[in-house]
Amino acid sequence: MNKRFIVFLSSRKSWTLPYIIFSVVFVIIPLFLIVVYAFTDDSGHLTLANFQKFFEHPEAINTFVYSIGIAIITTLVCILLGYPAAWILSNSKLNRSKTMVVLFILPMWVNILVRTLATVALFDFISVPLGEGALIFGMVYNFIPFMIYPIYNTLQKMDHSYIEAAQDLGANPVQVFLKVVLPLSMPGVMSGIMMVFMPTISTFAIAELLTMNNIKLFGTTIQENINNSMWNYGAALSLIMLLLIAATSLFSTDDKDHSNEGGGLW
Amino acid sequence: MKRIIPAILLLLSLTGCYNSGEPRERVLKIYNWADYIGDSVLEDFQAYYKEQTGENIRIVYQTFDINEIMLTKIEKGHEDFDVVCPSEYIIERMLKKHLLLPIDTIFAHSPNYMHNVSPFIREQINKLSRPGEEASRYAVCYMWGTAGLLYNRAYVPDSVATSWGCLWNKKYAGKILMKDSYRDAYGTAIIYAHAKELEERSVTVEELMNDYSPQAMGLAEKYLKALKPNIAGWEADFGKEMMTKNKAWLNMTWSGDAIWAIEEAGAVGVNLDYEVPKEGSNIWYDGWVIPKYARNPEAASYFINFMCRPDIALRNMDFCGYVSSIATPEILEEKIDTTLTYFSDLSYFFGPGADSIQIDKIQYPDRKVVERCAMIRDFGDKTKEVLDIWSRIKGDNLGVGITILIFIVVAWMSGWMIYKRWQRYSRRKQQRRRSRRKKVKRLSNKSQ
Repeated sequence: MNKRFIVFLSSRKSWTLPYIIFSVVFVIIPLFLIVVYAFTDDSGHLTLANFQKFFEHPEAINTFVYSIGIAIITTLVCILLGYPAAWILSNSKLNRSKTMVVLFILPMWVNILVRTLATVALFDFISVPLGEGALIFGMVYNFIPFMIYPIYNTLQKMDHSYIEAAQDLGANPVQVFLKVVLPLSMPGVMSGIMMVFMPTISTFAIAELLTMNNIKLFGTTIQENINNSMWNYGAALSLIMLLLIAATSLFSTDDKDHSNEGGGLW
Repeated sequence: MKRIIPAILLLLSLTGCYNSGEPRERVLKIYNWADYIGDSVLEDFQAYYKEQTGENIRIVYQTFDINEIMLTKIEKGHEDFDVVCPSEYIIERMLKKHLLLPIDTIFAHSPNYMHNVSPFIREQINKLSRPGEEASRYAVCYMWGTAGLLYNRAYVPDSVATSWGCLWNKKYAGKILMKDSYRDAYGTAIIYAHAKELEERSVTVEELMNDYSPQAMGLAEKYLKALKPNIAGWEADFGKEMMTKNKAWLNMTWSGDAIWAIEEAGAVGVNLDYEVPKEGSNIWYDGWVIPKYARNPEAASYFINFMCRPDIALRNMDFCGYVSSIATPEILEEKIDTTLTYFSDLSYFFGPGADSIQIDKIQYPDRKVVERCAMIRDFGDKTKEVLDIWSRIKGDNLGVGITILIFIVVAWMSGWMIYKRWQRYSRRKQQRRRSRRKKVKRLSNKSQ
């Protein structure tokens, strides 16, 4: 046993050790705690009451569904705005300098909270009422770099001979885009969806600041419960959210399998 | 590698350095609200402590902004804070859970300043007592104040702001801010719902504030739901800014915040005022306590005693805008403002002789105001139910449009998945058929 450990240490595999320790301490143990808290009550007895409470209370489900809706809208808007942006960035005819890329990615370097506070001040200045519209704007503004970047990456790595081949075979620009470029960039879009959809479901700071606490998202519900020391219910809600996120990521892995089979085509 | 491990160990030990080497008796751990103590009061305490006991003390000062987070740290985390400043309902909860140590009131050299606390305040704190445990032995009130309406005099007439009813008035829809606090919201709703009975004096504010019967809960929920469309937002700390910029006209807030806002607004020419409505309101108290896990209760007692010194109380009061519980002639003298045009009865607080003095009425409410206010006690096991009401009121945003959108997206995605699966399945079937055909061909070729 000891010998094997020494062999492990001397091999290159041992470089994973810091990460293993890190993920055990900061990922696995917290997750385990969430599960434990979700299935116990205040005094530590096993119970399903936390989940029962969620399904019996329409307002919790209401908020949950509403958050999903907001996340879907945000993701859709991000795709609609982000795809053309990524297309422009990756197109060598339209964009000759790399500074454009930096300019597009720049917002990602600024802290989300700072950006959101700035948005609030800006909306105040041009006297736009805060509310649902402001919330969606703030979400899109904060998460659109996460959509642009993966799409830009796949578009850039795309083999241009495919496009030339399509053109040689007589496809017009629309057909080239729909039949070649779009399917080839789909993995980028999928990872963009993952990177936008998941965090938007769980944010609460943006909703609080941009709607003056008027619109409550699921993240706020969890935060409220935990702040009022109802850890068990809060943990159950977090677990429900984790399950939803896990379910959405199933969609993408399935497509990946498929793309491998289909020779890189989505 | 051999060099790295000691380095890491050194780093780890540095992060927790104060409990290695330094004796715990030389450290005082204070856990207080943010912006709730005067400038350099802590340094002065160090000098005072040195003078009293001849020993140096190091102060570890941390702040919190939510009572419950503080409580969780002490109750579940067993953190060894020596002195903490929770609100009255948390003091009650801590007493119930036996989380407090009695405060030492015998001071060898220094005079005992703790008796400077107004008898009225001590009496109020004693309402939290449990049989055999007098609350004022465990808690010394630090700051206190009322909850009421901060309003913009340009848009809201003084006569309107004297009743909570203006919050339900459609005229002010979209211009009303509520403090994001479920306890105050519940209290406000239940008081306004019984405005008529209060006028007839058939119920008291104290009874109403602490009524958690299903009927009362239902009534509060009904009133808060009716209030929601009028609300521009639930403020945590942006209320002051919005009021001084004329963006909101009415704000349910606490007296100390109101004083700040009125001062700031005055500087930019906005005329704000604060009123405790005629139906009544909440009076709250924050107090110093020594948690059970404290490891330096002696220094904590010295600290609490020091905070009760009139000059220190004045400095703290000037810094944070709230009102200290200390009621000595020095404070009265300092706070009297002869430029004011009204007189208040403060004999309940400063004792007889103070029944007609010129003093800021927001900081020091008149006897009549105090008489119509009451302390909101701990909701106890009902906290969960009140929070449920709270989340039902705040979390109701789901519209038809979004529901339809979700259905469309989910249906489209599932349809797409099924379509893809079917495509893949049929492609495989074709491939299989093709390969079978090939095999048959190969076999027939061989046999030829």
